[in-house]
Amino acid sequence: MSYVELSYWIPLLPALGFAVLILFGRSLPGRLAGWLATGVMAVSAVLALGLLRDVALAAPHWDLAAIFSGQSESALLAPGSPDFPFRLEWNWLAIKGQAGIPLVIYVDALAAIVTAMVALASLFIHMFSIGYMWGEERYHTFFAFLQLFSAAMLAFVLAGNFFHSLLAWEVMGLMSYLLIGFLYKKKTAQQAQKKAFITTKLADLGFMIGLFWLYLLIGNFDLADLASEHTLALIPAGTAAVIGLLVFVASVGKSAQFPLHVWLLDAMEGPTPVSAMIHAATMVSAGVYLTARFYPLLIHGHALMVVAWVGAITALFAAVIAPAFADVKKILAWSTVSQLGYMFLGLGVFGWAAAMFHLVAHAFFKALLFLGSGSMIHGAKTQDIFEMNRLKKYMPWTYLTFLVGSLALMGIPPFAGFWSKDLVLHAAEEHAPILWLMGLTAAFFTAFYTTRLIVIAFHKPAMPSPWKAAAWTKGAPWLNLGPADAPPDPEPPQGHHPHESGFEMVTALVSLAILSIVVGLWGSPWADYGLLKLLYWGDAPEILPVGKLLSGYVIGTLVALSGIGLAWYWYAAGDPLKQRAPLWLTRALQRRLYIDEFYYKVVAALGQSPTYVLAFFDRWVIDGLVDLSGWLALVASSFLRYLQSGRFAVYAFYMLLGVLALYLGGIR
Amino acid sequence: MTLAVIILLALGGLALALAAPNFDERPTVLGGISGTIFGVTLLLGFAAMHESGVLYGAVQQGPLTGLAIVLLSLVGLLAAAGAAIRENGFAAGSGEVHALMMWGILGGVLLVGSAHLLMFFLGLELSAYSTYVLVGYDRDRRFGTEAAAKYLMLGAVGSALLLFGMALLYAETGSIAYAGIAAGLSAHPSALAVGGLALMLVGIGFKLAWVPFHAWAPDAYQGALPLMAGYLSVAPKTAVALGLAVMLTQAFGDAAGMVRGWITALAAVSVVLGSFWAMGQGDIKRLLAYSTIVHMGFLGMGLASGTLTGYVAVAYYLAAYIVTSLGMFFSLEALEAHGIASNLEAWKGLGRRNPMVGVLIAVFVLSLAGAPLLAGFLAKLYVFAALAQAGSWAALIVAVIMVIFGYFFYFRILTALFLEEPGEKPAVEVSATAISLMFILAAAVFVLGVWPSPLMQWLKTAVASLMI
Repeated sequence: MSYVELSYWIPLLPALGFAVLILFGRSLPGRLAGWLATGVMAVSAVLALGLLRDVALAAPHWDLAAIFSGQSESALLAPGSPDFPFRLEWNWLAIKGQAGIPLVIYVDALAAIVTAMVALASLFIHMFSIGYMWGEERYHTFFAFLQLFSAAMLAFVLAGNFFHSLLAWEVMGLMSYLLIGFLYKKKTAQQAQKKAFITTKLADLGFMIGLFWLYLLIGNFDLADLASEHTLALIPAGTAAVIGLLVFVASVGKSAQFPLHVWLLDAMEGPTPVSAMIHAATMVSAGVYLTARFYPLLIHGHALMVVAWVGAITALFAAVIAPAFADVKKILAWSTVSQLGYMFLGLGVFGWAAAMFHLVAHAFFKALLFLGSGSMIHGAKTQDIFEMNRLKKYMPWTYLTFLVGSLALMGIPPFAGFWSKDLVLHAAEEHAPILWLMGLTAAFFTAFYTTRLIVIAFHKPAMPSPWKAAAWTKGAPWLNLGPADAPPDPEPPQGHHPHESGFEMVTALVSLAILSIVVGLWGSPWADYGLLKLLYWGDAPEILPVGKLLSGYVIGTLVALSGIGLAWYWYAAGDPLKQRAPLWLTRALQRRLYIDEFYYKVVAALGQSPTYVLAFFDRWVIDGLVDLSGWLALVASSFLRYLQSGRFAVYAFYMLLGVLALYLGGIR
Repeated sequence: MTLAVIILLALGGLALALAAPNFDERPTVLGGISGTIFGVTLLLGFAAMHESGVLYGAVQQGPLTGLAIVLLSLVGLLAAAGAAIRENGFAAGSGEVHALMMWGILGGVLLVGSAHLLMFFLGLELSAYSTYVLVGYDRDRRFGTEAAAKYLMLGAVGSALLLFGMALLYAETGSIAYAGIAAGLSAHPSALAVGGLALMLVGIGFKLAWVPFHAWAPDAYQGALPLMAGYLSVAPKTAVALGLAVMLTQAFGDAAGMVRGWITALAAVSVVLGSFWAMGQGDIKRLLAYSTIVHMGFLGMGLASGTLTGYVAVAYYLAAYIVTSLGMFFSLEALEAHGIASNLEAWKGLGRRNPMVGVLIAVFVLSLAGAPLLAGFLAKLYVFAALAQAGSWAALIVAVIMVIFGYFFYFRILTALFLEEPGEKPAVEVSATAISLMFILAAAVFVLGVWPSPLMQWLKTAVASLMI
């Protein structure tokens, strides 16, 4: 029994876990619900790793030297096994011989790698939550939601049929809504969950329209079929561009890219493991994954440049805004937006494999960072980095693992982000130097805000947060920065000494730290680009000998070091409380460059105007019709009761009437 | 195999009836025996699907007879199990219930398999007599006795009309074998033949409770014990619907088009009037009686389409209705056995008094209403597809509109279950047998609703024999 044949259990197990927890979770004592969910994810992760092993054995083997010289024909050392990529198929909705929509599990190298990534990251997020969520209301419900979320993401990745991808995608949307609003008593959480759901839902329309349009053209939803020359020939290039971009809109929404990034920051209202889940390992990655799956269509339609520009703008814009925030989770949220921008940039400049490498590497180190921030919040009882009191001293494990994640994020060799980000930037440099410059600038800011975060939270003693005192942080009532009616953030307890987190949480942190290092090395030239070779499909300009990448490596490292240096000079050597930027700039950054306000004021107002007409229509026409039909039904019903008299003779008479009616109807 | 099933059911019923008086104290023993026999006939039914030929010139062997054996044995099996819901048996003794049900099922098998009118009438009467007794089984209920008396008399009228119709047809065509009748009927039959066909359809419509031959149903359902009402709502209906399909394709020859027109009219009237009647009901069994009338209307529309799609839709509808309706009536039986009357007043807040029971009942009610993901939804969908394919747009529009009206009265049950305050009413306990049965049936409703392909495939092969 190979792992491929078991692959459907990977999403099925957490789905069953969800069912068990939601039905019986209440009666599980203590932390059993958490351990149960973690155990389920562990089995899923083992199966996913087995699947990855099967794929690695079955995939074709390539000669690195031939790839370097660009001779992809001679690069093939050994062809893959004949049944690779693996495909499991079941009939679904197949009625009376018609094909229906087959339920397909499609496992190629990308699906196997991302499945393993999701399962592993999700496993450690579950493990971390055992301790982190302990004591919360609805403890078991939280794990039930996490389980279904993981199941949906795994199903999304393994689905070989875009129709089922769409179903899983929507389940993820729903679960993100439920998880972001998990602390449903907080008004800000309620607003955040609505914002996330509405924004992503709006974008999802693009997916649906694009998908059904595609179906009209090619007559199926098959994922593998989309990549074939034969199918692409059916689609005119212009149409392909429109469909590809429609689907890309959905990715932009799900992956929080400019200009639909607005929901992600507010989504930090969810508990921290949720942030790790949604904003590192699963949901935001789903957007990138979807675009990667539609890559052939986007190439066919010559639409990749749009993807690249959206990615580059987002990467830069988010990295610039991040230093203006004091909430550790919000800084990481901006960092996520920015890093996802890199992935789209990579996809847009033909660096498909590099972008996927960055996706996997980022999932691990960002999950690590989010969980690390959760540990910090858990220990310090505040989210404001200024109020955190020399955490390095009190939380050595958290510090160490957070440092590993940060180095990966900043792109310091030999950590994961260094290898993957540099490949993306190199691909950009070859295709569009301006995008490369934007990426490099973003890398500078990334190093800057990360160092700032570490220095202030871990090294400096607690200090009164300047961001709480500032007038603009309260925002306007319609801006969800912390509305006037929301309760003020609690002050950190006086004389509180931070403490290291419990066993499960630390284990999860250390495991993720190790994983992020391992994954980075697997895709590095030191391991002969193992991960990239697995993803290779005959054409990957970004796989290059070290010699050609060396200048990029040096430049990237220097940029990162200069970012670190500046932040060190300002915050570690100097006094963090001294304002360094002019007030108007800080305020503009804090208000997220007024994009959210623009949406609230202009877009919402425009969108609302037709609703008055519709409301009138609904009130007087639709409601009226419903009331009328109900009234008619009752009148008819009360009249008809008299026919049912209960007398035998009357009933027999009805029968004779029936005979007569039929006879007259038939005789003509 | 068909012969073996007939003998087994006949002798099994006899044995149960003879043994009955000795087992009044241990009613489940007889239920077990009855269930075993039905289990065997169910398996034999699958084997019978591969047979061919006509037994003694009277009973056709073949896929459709096999299908009828399987479906009806399933009904019998479930009903035998359902008898165990009332742990102390029935006041009037328990053995006879099983014997009567078994003979009723036998009658159903005979009438589907019949190759001429005599056997059809014999099967119909055999199946009807058992239901007359079952409706009035609980002699202590005044309603039950009254309902049984009315049902019996109306049934006698129906049978008389049916026989008269058969006589007229014989006078016209000179044959009582299906093939002979078909040969003697033209597309525009004589006045005599029209009379014969109309009278026959009344007799058949009486069993299917089509308006205006439905009037017995509400009283009979209300008066009977829920288990009997459940049996009444599926066993004779399944047999007669399949038997009518056989007649339409084999016996009515060129006149079948006219009969299908009548059926469409009767079905549409049943769907419309049945829905309106149902809205005013506070007694759940009466409401379900009208619900049956509506469902038989939808079923009739499928029959009237006269295409393979239509007959497959009918077969699926029957399968879906068997599990849904039996589940619903088992729930009623379980509640009545614990003293909760079957009316909306007594059901107030039931979903809070016992969430498990509430949710299971909701599954059945939603399936009856035709909510997606449940068997009832697909059943209607297939019928609608058949109507669209046959171009019966008028019937389709009526049907779709009445589905919406249907939600009115089904949702009154759900409202009572979940939205109304239970007040001072006590918590609800039901037996483990009942919960298990309800759970199994609810699971079946769900599975049929999401994964119909294997069943549809099988039904298609069975029903395809009609179209030759």
